[in-house]
Amino acid sequence: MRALLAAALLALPAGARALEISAEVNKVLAELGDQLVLAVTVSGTQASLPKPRLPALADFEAYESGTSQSFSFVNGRTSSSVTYTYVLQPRRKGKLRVPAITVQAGGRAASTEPIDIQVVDPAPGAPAAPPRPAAPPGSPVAPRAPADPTQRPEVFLTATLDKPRAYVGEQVTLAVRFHTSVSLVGDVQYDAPKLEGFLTEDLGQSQSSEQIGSRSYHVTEVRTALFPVHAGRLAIGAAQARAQAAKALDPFASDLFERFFSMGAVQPLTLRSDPLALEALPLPAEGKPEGFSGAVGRFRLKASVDRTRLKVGEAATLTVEISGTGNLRSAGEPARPEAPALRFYDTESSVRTEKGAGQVGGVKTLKTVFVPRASGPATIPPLTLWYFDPAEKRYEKAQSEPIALDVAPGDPGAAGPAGPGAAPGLGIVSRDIRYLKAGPMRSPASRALEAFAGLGAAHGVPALLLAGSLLADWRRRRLEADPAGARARSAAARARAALDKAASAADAVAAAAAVSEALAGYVADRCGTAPAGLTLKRCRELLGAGRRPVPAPAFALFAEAWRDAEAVRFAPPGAAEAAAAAVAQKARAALDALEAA
Amino acid sequence: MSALLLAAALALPGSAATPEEAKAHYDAGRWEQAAAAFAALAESDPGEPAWHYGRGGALLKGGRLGAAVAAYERAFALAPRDRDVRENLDFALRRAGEELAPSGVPPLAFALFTLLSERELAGLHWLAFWAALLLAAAAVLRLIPRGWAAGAAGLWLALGLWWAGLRAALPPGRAVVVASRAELRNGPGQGFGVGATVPEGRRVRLLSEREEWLEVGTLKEGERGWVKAESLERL
Repeated sequence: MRALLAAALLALPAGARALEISAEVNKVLAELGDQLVLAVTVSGTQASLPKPRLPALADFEAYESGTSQSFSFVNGRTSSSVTYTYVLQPRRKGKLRVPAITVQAGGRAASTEPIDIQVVDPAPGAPAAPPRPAAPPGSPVAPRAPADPTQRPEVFLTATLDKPRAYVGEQVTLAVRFHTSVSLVGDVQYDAPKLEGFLTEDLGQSQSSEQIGSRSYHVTEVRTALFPVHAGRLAIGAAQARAQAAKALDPFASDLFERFFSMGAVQPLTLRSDPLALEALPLPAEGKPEGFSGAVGRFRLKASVDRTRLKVGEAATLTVEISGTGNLRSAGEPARPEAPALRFYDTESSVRTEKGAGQVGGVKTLKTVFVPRASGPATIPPLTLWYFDPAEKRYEKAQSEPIALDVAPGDPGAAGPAGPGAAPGLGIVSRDIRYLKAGPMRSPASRALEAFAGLGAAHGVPALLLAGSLLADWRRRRLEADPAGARARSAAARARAALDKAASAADAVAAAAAVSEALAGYVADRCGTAPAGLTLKRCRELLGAGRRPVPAPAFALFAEAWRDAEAVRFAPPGAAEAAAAAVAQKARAALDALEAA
Repeated sequence: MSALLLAAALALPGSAATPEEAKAHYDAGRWEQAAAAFAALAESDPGEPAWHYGRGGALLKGGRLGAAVAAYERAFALAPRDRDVRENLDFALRRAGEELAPSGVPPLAFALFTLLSERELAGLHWLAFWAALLLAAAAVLRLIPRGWAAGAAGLWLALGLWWAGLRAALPPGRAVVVASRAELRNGPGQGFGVGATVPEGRRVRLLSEREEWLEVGTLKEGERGWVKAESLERL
């Protein structure tokens, strides 16, 4: 379009030249994931306008999407403006700010006001703008065709799109055609159509001739590649051109003056094309891969390094080239490779745009410096770029080949402390599982505890022991509470013990005496009296009384044993030896009879 | 050749493997063979955590995340104080989107809670039971002060509560997803819709069983559903 303009730039003193800058975004309220278009316009009266310096935009992914330039010639002064278009993608939600953008030239500076943008979460389930039912993407649009081509004016302007529908990010070509069949006077001032919701790339212009009806036209076609940035119906404003055409001499005018003054007269013309609209379709959600970063077109991926043999700590460069057709500026980058043994630094990118055959494409080059962290073989795994192919209507994958590296140990001291006293930090190279155990790892204590837990019914032993102790305690308490009864209950046991002692007495007299004491003791214990002075008669009284009176046969045995013992005690020496054992036996039998009664 | 190696590896669980053989396979990067050798060792001595630990490492290196988590879980159940076992189980669980310590539980509290294995805790519980009852018997017989028996009874009660808590937190009816992405269906059959998918390596609790279908609940999100039994490895 610049070639259409024949504006001459007047050379003005540098100090008198104006310099202005303005910036605007297409929306100040955006959802996370939206793309915003920042248009920075630098205008002035200078022949060459400086490019603004975009400040650091920490809250946005930003990339340049194209420039457009226009000139105007008013009252003999030329002014020009260049609009730099950037696409911004918010990195977080909240109130984000685009700082002031400054431009400097010839000692003058101008800057924009900061722009605040509110970024919110995407509305859940918010539907994309519904596409209108229309022809499928790729169908040609019929240009505005007059009913009768011969009725076309001498000068006219048309605008066409090569397709009525396209996916977000897919290229659509806008062609503005300026037809003239007459000579024009002076310059043509062209205003490009207003484009909102697109990234643009100039595709240049071409000249041609065209015969329409009876007229032969000179045609200048200006083509622009458009890339929709969001789904919905996107409007393309009317292109406008202002020109002056020489009035044709009317050879048949009757008035000579009229014929004379009509020579050299000009007719101002204002031409407008019809506004257009494009249905921008959202990229299909079905089949969208996780790593898809917005690339639309058809791409190839190639990765290379400047050297494959290097040392630990030495820097090398990984170069990734994304080539193909599509808007490479808005194409995302492949995910950084996962190689724990390598440390990657920031990536620098550059784009070389090619516009052959009306198709925008080129090569995007990403250069990343990396440093090996550990020696040994290392591999940069394949890098993957997912893109959407609008021709095939599906997501495709471009992948690079893996790159094998041979890393030698670093030079000693090359990666030493930064200075005296500086403690070297721990260099974590990668996280992995820990190595095998040298052998069995269970401790004997642990094994013993587990074995003890598995004793099963043996765990009842302490309960039995506790029960036994409780029983013993009960008995002890009972004895303590009834000493007479306890004495009576133990009378037989004590008497038997005494009889056992009698068996080991030194002689028969002593044995008989012991038997007598055992029998008397039994009666005394059983009846709760003192054994001293007990006679057989008293014994009969005592045993015959009480709750358990002794039957006569049982007492007879007792009395017989009592008398025999007395007899032995007082028998002449030598005669009692044989009878002592029998007396003890009788005494036991008597005790048994008394206890059984 | 590779078929022969695979056949040899598959035959290993039934054959006698030594720790040295398993380690040699592991060091050479023969993950399948190493996992099979450690599995054979674990089969012969299931109470030794080192074999489950080694099998987990070989499986994880070989890309079988779910089976590796199951093996590390067994090692952790036997040797919960071992730092390597904890680290590797946590490493594997993080790959599956989980962590060893449940969310919201301070790591130190979880480490203390799992200081003893369930078997060790059972042994200590029974030991405290014996001590409490024997000391009580001695106290009844007035051989020792009653306070000693009361202290032992308190220890027994505390260990019993700890044991019960550990069994509730790590119940025996658990499993690990070994399929690459198990489908949680709304009923026991292919005809029921898929409500959620569970990535490999996630731990689930077994709730019920019907033929080849198991009803499970994910430990992290609490999602319930039915999966095919072949998608899980029971712990």
